[in-house]
Amino acid sequence: MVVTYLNLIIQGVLLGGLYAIFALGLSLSVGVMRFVNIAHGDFIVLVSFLLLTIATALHINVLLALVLMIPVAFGGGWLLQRVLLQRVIGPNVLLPLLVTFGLSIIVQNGLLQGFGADTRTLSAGSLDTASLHIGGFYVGLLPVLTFALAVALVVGFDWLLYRSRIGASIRAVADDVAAADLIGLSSVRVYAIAMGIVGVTVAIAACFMGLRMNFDATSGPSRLLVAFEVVVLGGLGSLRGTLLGGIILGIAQTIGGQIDGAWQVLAGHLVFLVIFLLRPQGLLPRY
Amino acid sequence: MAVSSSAEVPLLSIEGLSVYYQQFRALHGIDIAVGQGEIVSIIGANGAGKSSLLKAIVSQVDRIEGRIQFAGANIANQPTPAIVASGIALVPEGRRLFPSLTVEENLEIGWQIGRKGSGVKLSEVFDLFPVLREKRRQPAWQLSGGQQQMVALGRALLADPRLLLCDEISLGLAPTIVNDLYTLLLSINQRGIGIVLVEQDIRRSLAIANRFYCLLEGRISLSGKPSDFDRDTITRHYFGS
Repeated sequence: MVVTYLNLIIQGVLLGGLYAIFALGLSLSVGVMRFVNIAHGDFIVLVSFLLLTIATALHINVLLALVLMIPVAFGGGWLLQRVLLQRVIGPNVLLPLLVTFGLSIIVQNGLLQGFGADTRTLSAGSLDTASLHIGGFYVGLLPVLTFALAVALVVGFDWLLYRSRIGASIRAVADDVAAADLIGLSSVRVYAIAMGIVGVTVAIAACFMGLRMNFDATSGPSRLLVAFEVVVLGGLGSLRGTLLGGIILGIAQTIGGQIDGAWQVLAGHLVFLVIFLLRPQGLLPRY
Repeated sequence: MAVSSSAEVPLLSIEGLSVYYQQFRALHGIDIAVGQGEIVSIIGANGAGKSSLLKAIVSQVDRIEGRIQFAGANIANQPTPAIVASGIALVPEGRRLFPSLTVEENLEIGWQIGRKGSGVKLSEVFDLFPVLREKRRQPAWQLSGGQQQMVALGRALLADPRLLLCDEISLGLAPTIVNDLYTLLLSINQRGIGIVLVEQDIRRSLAIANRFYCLLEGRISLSGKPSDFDRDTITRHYFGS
C-alpha cells in the first residue's frame, strides 16, 4: 500500500515536470509580461506537428529535430510579437485575449486542414520505453529526463529573468512600459525578445509533450488549461512556483487516476480549486 | 568657458520648434541652443511647455515641426533609442524608475540604452552617490524620494551622455537634498557634460545656469544670462503680467 502510493507520488512528480515545461512559457507571458496568451496550448500542438514533420521528412530523431526547431521557434515568437501582438498590447487587456483566441481557432483549423483529425505521437526511438530501476521502483527514463530538464529550465530561466541584463530589461518593461520608452529602452524590442524566449519554451514543451502523450489538432485548449492551473497554483511571476504547481497537479492527477480512471483529470482540477480558494495568490508568489 | 563654446557649433540647436498633441499646440516655433558643457536653464510656469520641449528633443511627443540638431546631426523624429544612444540622456519628471528592479539593475539599464562603449562605470556612480552603494541590492521602490532621484540621475549618467536633460529634479524633495543634487549637477557638468535644467523653482536653477530661456505659453518670453536681468524682470516674463 505504502509502496504503491510512494510509486504514484514518484510518477506524479515526474508528470509534474512535464506540466511545468508546458506552463513555463505561459508563466513568462502572464506572470512577467502581463499578457494572456489563449493560443499557448495550440502553439505547443502546432510545434509538435512541425517536429513530427521535420523528423519524418529528414529521417532524424525528434530530439535532433527539436535542436533545429529552437532557433526557428525563437524567430517565430519574435515575429509574432513584432508583427501582430505588439499592436494589441496596451492598457486594454481584452485585445490580446481576443487576438490570441482568434489565433487559437486559426491554428486548430489550420492543423485539421493540414494534418487531419488523427491522433499522433512523437517517438524518440528506444528512449520511449527505456526504464530505470532505482531502489525497488521502476521509472521510465523519459519521464526522469523530462523532469531533470524541467528543473534545469526553471533554474536557467530564473537566472535569465532575475540575474541577466536582458531579464532586467524585460522586467523593466513589465514594470512601466511608458517609462521604458521615455528613457530610450525600446519596449517593442524587449517584448519581441521576450516572446522569442517564450517560443523556445513552446518548442521544448511541444517535443516532450508529444513524446509522452497523444496529441491531435484540437488538443491545445486542454494543454492551456493545465498550463494555466500550474501558473496560478505556483504564483504569478515565479518560475519556481511554476515547477511546484506542476508537481502538485501531476501528483493529484496520478493519485486520482489510481482511484478511478475517470478521476484523473477531475482530481487535478479539484486540488487546483481547493488550493486556489485557500491561497489565491499562489504558493510562491513573486508579487 | 560656456560663452566661448556656445560661439562654436552648438551641441544642441533647435530652430522653429513647434510641438503638437493632437489639436493642441504646446510650443510655437521656438529657437534654443545649448553649447558644449553649458548649463542652460529652462524656466516657466506650469503648462508653459518646458516638459514638452524636453520630450520633443527625445522624440516622445505626438508631432513636431522645426529642426533639432545634435552634434551636427539631425535628430528630429528619430526613434528615441537612437537619440539616447547618440548621447542625450533624460532624467524624467517623477524619476520613473522601475520599482521592482534593484537599484543596481535600474542603473544598469542606463548602460543598455546609452552610448556604445560607454566609459562610465557603476563604481563612479556609486562614488557620486555613496548611499546607493549600500542599497544596491534593494528594489527601487524602497528608496526615499531623494535616493530615487539619485538613481534616476545615475541611470542617465551611465548612458554616458554629452547632454543631460533634467526634468523637475527638485520636485517634492527636501531643500537640503535639492542642494546636494545641485552640487552633484555642477560636478557632472565639470566632466564636460552639457545640462538642460527644467524647473519651476527658478532660484536654484538660475544660480547654476550659464544661460536661461523663460517660456510663457509655448513661446520664449525672455532669454540670456541670469546676471543680465533683475529678479522683477524675470518674474514678469515668467508670469506674463
